[in-house]
Amino acid sequence: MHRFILKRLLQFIPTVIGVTLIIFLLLNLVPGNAALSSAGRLELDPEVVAQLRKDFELDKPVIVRYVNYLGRLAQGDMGKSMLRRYDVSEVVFGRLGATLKLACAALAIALIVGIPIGFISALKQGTWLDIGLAVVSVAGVSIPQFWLGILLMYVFSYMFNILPTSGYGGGAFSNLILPALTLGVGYAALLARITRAAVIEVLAADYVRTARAKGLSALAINLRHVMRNSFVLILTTSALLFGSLMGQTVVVERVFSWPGVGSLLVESIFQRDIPVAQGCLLLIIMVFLIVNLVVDILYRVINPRIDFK
Amino acid sequence: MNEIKENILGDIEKVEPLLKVDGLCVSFDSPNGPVPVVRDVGFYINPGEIVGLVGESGSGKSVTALSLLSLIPSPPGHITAGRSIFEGNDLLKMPNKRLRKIRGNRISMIFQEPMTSLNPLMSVGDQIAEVFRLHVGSSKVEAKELALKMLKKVQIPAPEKRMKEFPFQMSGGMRQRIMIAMALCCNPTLLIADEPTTALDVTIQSEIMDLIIEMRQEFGSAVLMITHDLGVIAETAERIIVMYAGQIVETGSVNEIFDAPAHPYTNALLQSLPVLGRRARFGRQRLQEITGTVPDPADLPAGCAFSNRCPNVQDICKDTSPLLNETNIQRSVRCHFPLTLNSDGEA
Ligand SMILES: Nc1ncnc2c1ncn2[C@@H]1O[C@H](COP(=O)(O)OP(=O)(O)O)[C@@H](O)[C@H]1O
Ligand code: SF4
Ligand SMILES: [Mg+2]
Repeated sequence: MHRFILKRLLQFIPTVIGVTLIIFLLLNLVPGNAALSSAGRLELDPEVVAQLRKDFELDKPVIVRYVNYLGRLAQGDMGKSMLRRYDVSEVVFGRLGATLKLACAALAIALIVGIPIGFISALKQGTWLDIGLAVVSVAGVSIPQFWLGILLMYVFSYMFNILPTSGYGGGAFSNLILPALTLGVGYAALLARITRAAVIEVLAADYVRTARAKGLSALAINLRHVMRNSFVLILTTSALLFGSLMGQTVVVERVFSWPGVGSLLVESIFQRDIPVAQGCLLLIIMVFLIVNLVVDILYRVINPRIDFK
Repeated sequence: MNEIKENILGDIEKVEPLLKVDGLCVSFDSPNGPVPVVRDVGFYINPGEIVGLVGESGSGKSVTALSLLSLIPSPPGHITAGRSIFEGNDLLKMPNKRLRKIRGNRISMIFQEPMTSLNPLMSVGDQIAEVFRLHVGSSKVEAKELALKMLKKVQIPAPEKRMKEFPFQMSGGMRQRIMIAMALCCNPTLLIADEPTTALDVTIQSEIMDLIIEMRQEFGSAVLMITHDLGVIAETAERIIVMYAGQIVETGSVNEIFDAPAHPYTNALLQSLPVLGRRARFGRQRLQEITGTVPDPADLPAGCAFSNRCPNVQDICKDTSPLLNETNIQRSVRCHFPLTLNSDGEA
């Protein structure tokens, strides 16, 4: 087990380097950046522009810039904002809390709503209840998040005026509800479908027949034999989901002016503030990678079948 | 000789059977409507008796066995008719709660696939202990001790260590021993073994078979031994039921079936045995595969279900289904032209 964890941690390093390379190339090969465009607008001295170029190493070839960037990153330095000259790592990490809060709340909704619905659909397979839940799930999966967000906002903030429209509200719970719902609904629906498929697969397994032949009640079979085995299946898929959940926070944060990494990312991209955009992307992807790592290890803990070699 | 036979038969008729199945019909739903896969199956098992249920793969043996305890997947499966009287009560009409008290307790089952029949995420000790917790009402500690005893009974080496292991850490033969231990926990009066050795290595097969027989002697259970291989039960069963395409085509004592098969299908099964067991004394050890395959239950030939493969087929076979013709309570055959009983069985 320890060797497995060590091995996975070692694999982590090249993955992260690969990610930084892709992010760097993506953002630096696209023309335009904040430093120069603001300089152009303000008609600055050629001398100042030259200084800006030097500060942000724009006079050097991309590959040199990347190597330098990586070197600084290794020391925990994500560079400075092109616009306001603040320290990127400080600001980006400062925003991480809000994003994680939103993502976790959404995930909690997805788990609490999605898994029981999936279970019920599987146990009532083929009934009207199952079909009804399937329709609701498909609707849940296909609703665009910005539309759902605006709809919820309209109903709960404007019509009934019981929840704040947007913003962080200093971390108030009432401010979290709508964005978390918006982000969570689609995942709840997706998780319900995944759970249903997993449970149906397990229900057809030979060992469930053995459990019935033992004389166990349906409840005991579901609790002791079906649930745990389907969780192994559910866990792997929902881990993948969490990655796209992190990505989707960008949209929801934007709709609800949620001060997280996602909204900062959108802002910085609009402003061509490349170091900030780099920092945001890197952080979001890192969270995704770390979650995957943890799930991978967890999966092995609850599933004794896998070799630790 | 005849006198002795008569006496035995007289005795059999007096014994109240442990299980009596009557007119069992089972269908599976398909896109084109229900398909009958078990058709009017009836048989009995006496207390402590070993009965073999034989037929090629797909002939409906497993569905028959599973139906006895209402274990067929439903949907798509439905028991459409029949009775299954066990110790005086009809298992098929019994409320679920009562049936659960019989499953794993009075009637136990061993399945064909030891690889998948155990829960992969539960230690084998816990899986055995579960039965004691359920049917005996043992405490956790007691159940563990009893489970350990069962592991010793089925001759698992290092049982204390094995208790804590998971199925994936065990070989197929070992897992089948676990299944046997689990099935015998409550001293069942009837053990249904559905091809318990088919999925195992040849070398392990006889070990497991011996274990089942040994355990039966200890526990005194009746056994319904299901197999597609007549050879497996030649030495162990007392009576044999032959199934083909969802129907019983012949029943009889082991001697009758081996020495004088009446149905061409039984005869073909015997011909395909690598070693002809008791028939070897006739000096013929030919190996003959039965040509063709078991018909699809959704597309049975008209008349006799075996007519498309039968070497003795006549015109009447192709449009009139033969009835199961009972010579006496244990001997019956479903054929218009049963092989003459005093020939050597190859018409
Ligand atoms: N779950 C199922 N769904 C549909 N058809 C089934 C199912 N189980 C068995 N059958 C059909 O029932 C017939 C008898 O199967 P089975 O009893 O398993 O045969 P055997 O045990 O003699 O090999 C087969 O034609 C098979 O296709
Ligand atoms: S009824 Fe005819 S076809 Fe069927 S087994 Fe007998 S002889 Fe063969
Ligand atoms: Mg079978």
